[in-house]
Amino acid sequence: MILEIHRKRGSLFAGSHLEDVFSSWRATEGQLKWVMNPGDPRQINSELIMYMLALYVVAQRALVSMGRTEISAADVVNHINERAKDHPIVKCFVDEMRYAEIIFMLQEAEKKSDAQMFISALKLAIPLFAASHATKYVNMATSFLVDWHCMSEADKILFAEFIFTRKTAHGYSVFSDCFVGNYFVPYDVVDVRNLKY
Amino acid sequence: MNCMLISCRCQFLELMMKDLRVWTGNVGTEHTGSHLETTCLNLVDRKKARAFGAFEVKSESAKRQTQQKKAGEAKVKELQIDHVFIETVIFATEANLFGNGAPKHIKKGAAAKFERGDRAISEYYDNEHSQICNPETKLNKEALRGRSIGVERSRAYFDHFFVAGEADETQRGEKEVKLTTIDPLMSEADKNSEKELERATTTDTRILEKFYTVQELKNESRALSDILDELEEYDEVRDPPSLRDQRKSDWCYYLKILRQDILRMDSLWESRTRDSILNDMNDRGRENDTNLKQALRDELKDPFFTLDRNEKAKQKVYSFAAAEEDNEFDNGSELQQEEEHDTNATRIVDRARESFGVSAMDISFTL
Repeated sequence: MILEIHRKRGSLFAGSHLEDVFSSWRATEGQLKWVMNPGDPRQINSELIMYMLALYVVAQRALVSMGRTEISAADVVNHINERAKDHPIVKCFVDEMRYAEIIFMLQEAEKKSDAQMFISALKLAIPLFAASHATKYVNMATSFLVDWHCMSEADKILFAEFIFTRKTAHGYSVFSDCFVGNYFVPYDVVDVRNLKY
Repeated sequence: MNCMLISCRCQFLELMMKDLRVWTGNVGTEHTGSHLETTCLNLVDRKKARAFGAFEVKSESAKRQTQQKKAGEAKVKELQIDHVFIETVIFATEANLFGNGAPKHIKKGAAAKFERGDRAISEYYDNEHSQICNPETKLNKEALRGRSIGVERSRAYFDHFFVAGEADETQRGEKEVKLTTIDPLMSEADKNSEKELERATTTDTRILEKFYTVQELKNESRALSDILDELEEYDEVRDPPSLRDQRKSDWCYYLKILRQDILRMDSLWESRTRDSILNDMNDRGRENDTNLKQALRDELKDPFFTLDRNEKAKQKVYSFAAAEEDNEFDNGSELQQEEEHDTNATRIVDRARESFGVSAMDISFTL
């Protein structure tokens, strides 16, 4: 899910501004493709955090340079939205920043094993899938939300506590479907594969 | 007094260079530039780790996190600022994304390639929607409504396949609900419409020459000539360029004369022609410039963008020293923040450019 959002975010916004910004430190087509269409979310994660932080810092600095002395996070968001109303290119940035926030939400949901946050992020992500030809994900996410709506409270608790994430040996929560990846292999697949018949 | 200050400054500079060389070395390589940036930005943390040991610094950070957890505050993970952060800050600042005035087109590439102020190409004009580093590449205005288009499509999908359709149906084509990707770049049809809008009624020969081929000029002239001939009160005789002398500029001039005539004879011709092109654009569901701003405002009313926050009172408010101008802020006006590490982070950002090394002005002063 996170990987697909990264990819779709890349496909929608690379042409509008992402390639321009990222080409400040990624000089070739291949280097840009590495982050615009990643094969693994970790290829872009660290850069995305810095990129987002930088944009918020620039917006905050702009407010200060306008003479504002008392600034909250809400002011920064409002200021960015006001700019986006008048300038289409800023609107592109706002769209793309929101989708990056969805990625952060999903990461946070995984880390905290917070099923409710995952559901919220999923609801916000479906329009992105629908606008970027992620047909399987539109289907999958919609079906899941229908299922969630129909679940009893007991089912929801079972899902949140036992199905949604699993704990690694080091106590980290990870999505259950990621548990077969390289990262968590020692406890699952590798053990099975290493069985000597 | 001045001598003392200069002397202190020289000493500080020397010490700083010494510190930097510890991590960057004396031999320049391909990556020295970015290595130097990262080291400058995190010099304080690195020195602290070197003096007290990385374990101590980490345990101090862990202690702070435990305190935050006990106090019920959100856990904050400390990250070292890197070149991505600083390049983005410089890019967004130089493109004037969030400052006063219109955004700017700037040249592509690493910030270190350019002197401050040399990067700007031009300012965005009103309603312009093109790439930042390539003003010629127009962007798709439909993409600005990406969120609402996505919401409409997902509702339609749900209605079609989950409410009206068979729940067990596995075949889900796109004939019923369109889920195609919104191309970020302007489509060919839109490009042609934009071009048509610009060239259709103009009498400027430079634009005519730029946007028409000779054959198109001939066709346009013929069509316009027919319209003029049908007007009873039109009695001018305009001969087309002779066959021997068929240069493009002659056809442009001929079309210009015909257009001037029709504008004189029929005052509504211009608005009629433009409306017809705009209608064509609207028929394809594209936004035109006149309602683009309204579309942006409508789109931004979505709680997805506003975040639906009516709780400003509960938010943490940071105090900053007011800066009269950008430069004053850049030159290091003190920020008064509530937390020490916030102050450090912001100060690092403010002096980011200068911390690539010592600016030219400082060198001349200290020498």
